[in-house]
Parts: sequence; C-alpha cells; structure tokens
Amino acid sequence: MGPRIGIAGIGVTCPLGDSLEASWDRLVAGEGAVGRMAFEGLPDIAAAQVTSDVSRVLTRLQQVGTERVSQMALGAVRKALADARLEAWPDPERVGLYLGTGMGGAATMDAGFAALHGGGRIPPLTVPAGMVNGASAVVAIHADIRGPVLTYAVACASGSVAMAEAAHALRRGEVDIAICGGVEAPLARGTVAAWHALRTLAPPDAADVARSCRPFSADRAGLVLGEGAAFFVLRRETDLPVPPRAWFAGAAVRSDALHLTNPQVRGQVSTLKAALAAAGLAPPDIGYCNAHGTATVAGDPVECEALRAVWGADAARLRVSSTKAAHGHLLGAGGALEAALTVMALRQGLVPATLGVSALDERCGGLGHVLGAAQRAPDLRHAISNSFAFGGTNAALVFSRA
Amino acid sequence: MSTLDRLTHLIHDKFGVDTATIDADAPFASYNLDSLTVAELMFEIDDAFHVAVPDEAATTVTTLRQLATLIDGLPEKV
Repeated sequence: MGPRIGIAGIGVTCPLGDSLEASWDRLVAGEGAVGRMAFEGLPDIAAAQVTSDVSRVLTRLQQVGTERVSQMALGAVRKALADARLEAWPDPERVGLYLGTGMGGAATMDAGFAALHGGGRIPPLTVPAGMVNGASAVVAIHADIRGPVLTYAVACASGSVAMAEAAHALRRGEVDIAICGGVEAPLARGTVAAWHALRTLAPPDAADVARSCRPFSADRAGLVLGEGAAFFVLRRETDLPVPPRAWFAGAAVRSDALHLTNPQVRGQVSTLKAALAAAGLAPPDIGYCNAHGTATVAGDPVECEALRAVWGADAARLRVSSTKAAHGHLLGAGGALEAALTVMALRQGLVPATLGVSALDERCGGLGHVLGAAQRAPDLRHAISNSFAFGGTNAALVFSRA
Repeated sequence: MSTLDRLTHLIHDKFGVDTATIDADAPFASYNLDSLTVAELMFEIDDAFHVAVPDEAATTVTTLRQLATLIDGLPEKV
C-alpha cells in the first residue's frame, strides 16, 4: 500500500460558491445552484453557472491565450495552495500537477469554429487557449510547477482519475507535492447544443428550475450541466507539517469495455471492489457514498444495482446521495468537486441529501438514500466518491477521516 | 489621433498595459508583449483599423512605430 496520502489543502470554485466552506454551507442548507440559461437556436436549458468573475486571477495581459477553463483551474489551485499554507517550494521539479478535464477549452474552440464557419476569421490563439492541456499549462506557469504536468481527459471521470494518478505518483516517490483535481467550462453554445443533441439534458423544471436535476427520483429527466473547478494538494504522511484535512485512503480505475455511453454494472462493481481493496476497507466500513448519480434515466439504476451488489446485506445502511442535484454535473471536474464535498462530510460528520427527489425510483432502492435534509453522521469514518464516465471508464475514490 | 496613439490606446484597452511604459521604438517585449500577445494584437488591428495586416508582420515588425508605419501604408478595407 505504501505511505499514507494526506489531503493538505482543497480549493473550490463551483456554482454553489467560491470556496469549499461556502459551497458546503449552501449544500447542507438544501440550496441548489441550478438556474436557467438561454442559447441562440436552443430551447432554454437548466445549468449551474459559476457567477463570480473568474478572470480576475490573471491580469488582462496574462489572460492572453487563456480562457474560462484555465482561469477557473488556476483560481481553485491557488485556493488549494493557500489552504495547504504552501506559497513556494524549494524544488519545483518535485511538484506535479494532475489535472482532469473532459473538454478543455471547449468555449474557445466553439467560438473559433463559429467565427470561421460564419465567414469570419479564427482568432490566432485558438489552439493554445483551446487545447485540452491549456489549463494545465496555465496553472504550471503561474504556480511554478516543474515536475510532471499531466492532463487526464476521461470524460466525467477525469478529475477522479487525475486524483488517483496523483496519489500513485506520490506513493511511487515521483513527486513530493501532488496538486490534482478537475476543471470544466462547458457552458458554451456549441458544447451545450452537442449535449442537448444527445438527449441527455434535463429541461428546466417549470415549477422550480433549481429542482431540474433529480437523481434517483422516479421523475428524473436527465442531467444538468455545471461548470467549475476543484483541486487538492496531496502529500505523503511523512511530509505533512500538520494533520491533513482527510486521508486519501485509496482509489481504483476500471473500464466497462462494453459501450460508448451506457453504464454497466459489471465495470462499476469491479471498480468499487478494487477501490475498497486499495483502501484496505470492507463495505460496512464505508458510511457514505457520494454517488455519480447524474439523474439520467439509464444511469442511476445501474449505479444503485452496483452498490447493492457490492454492499450486499449492508446496502441499506450505506448512506447515499448525489450532490449533482445542487451543483450540476461538472463533467471532468465533477469527481473532484464531489471528492471535496465528501471530505467535508467526513470532517463535519454530516451527510448532504440528494435534493429534488419527489419519489424514489424503486430500481434505485435498497440503499440508505439521504433525502430531504442533510443527515447527522457522527460515526462517519470512511466515505467513497464515484465517477462513472462516458467511454466506460469508472473511478472510485475512498477517503478517511483524519 | 495618429496611428501610433491609436495603437497605444488599443494596447492599453486590450491588455491593460500602462501607456507610460510603452516606448514606440523599443521591442514589444520591453513592455511585456510576448509573441502570442503580438499575434493577438495584429488580429485586433485588422478590425480596429479595417486593414489586413500580412501574416509575416508578426515576425518582421518588432516595434510599435514600425507597426504604425506598416498600417499607414495598407489599403483600408471597404
């Protein structure tokens, strides 16, 4: 298993707020960040936007060649470093960045192609701003990260996979400080239209747009796109100057190898079992599962079946919620944000609820779903966060209270 | 307003560069415009001045005064 890996700091920029604590407070208060967005040529969509000015992390001159995705990443990384009380490091080559993003600079590519196809000129910095590793490069430049700077594009598991890889790099001794997480900025017209065309997006709920994403609910209608970034500073136990926020106990990544988009029980079960084994834990040790729970018709019952299969007789005692109902599906950043919220659940002994559920889909039953209001869990010691991606890659991360 | 003055203001408005630091005869890099920023500037100039700055200008033009002279010699697009 190697040395224990501790979380030294966490930084979040997400639809619920500009810090992890503010986002958590809104989440457990039962508030959601899903609103209505309009794009030309599309019906209004439900989406969860970051409302602060994320460009302010850079001067206007520094913003040249950057875009929303790189700005959100850098902002969240800076918050994570501040949380870890890290301002500089003696050996920048011993610091690595492991960044997950599904679509990189999608808005830049979108705008560039729109200009070109509309008879105009494509801006000269479309490639550096739009490239999938653009955000990683911007973070490395401004945080002086000179070890491995790697970008993981694994759709909705990107952030989780990046975190799992970062922990491995620390255990292998390749780096002394691993900065890892995910970022996504998909709320651009072409990207939204592509998701809409796939018929996966929930329409804005007519009665209450904040309840458009309803994971596990019998009346769920699809996922709600969100944007944001969440980053962690990971260190080996022996390098931690103070006790960590939590322990990163273990992780696993496995592939369905069956279908481009349909989730499969087989791959999820093997991922969950492997993550528990990596953490040296058994199913009853886990007190909370932050589910992938995107609120698609097909996805939620498969995940619940996988959880029931792994937890068996203990399934009904496993507290489960999907926080996507509140912050939307951040795609490549989703696993990282949900990991951050899972750590908060461990630290606070409080499990957030799945918002918006009117009646639980019976195919999602047999688990300890937390519905309505956040639930006190003073005994909570270990928790798991699931990310199951398009393309069939599944990741599960296990965290333990410090 | 002269072309040089307009360019100075464009650089200030677009990139937030203090106009006092802009020396029209010094290399762009002396006031922190790198090659990417110059490429972006050339792109903006096409719209702002209704001209088509040739691609090679991004490498042959090294100062703002050279750029102003180049723009003044270009035909205005209708």
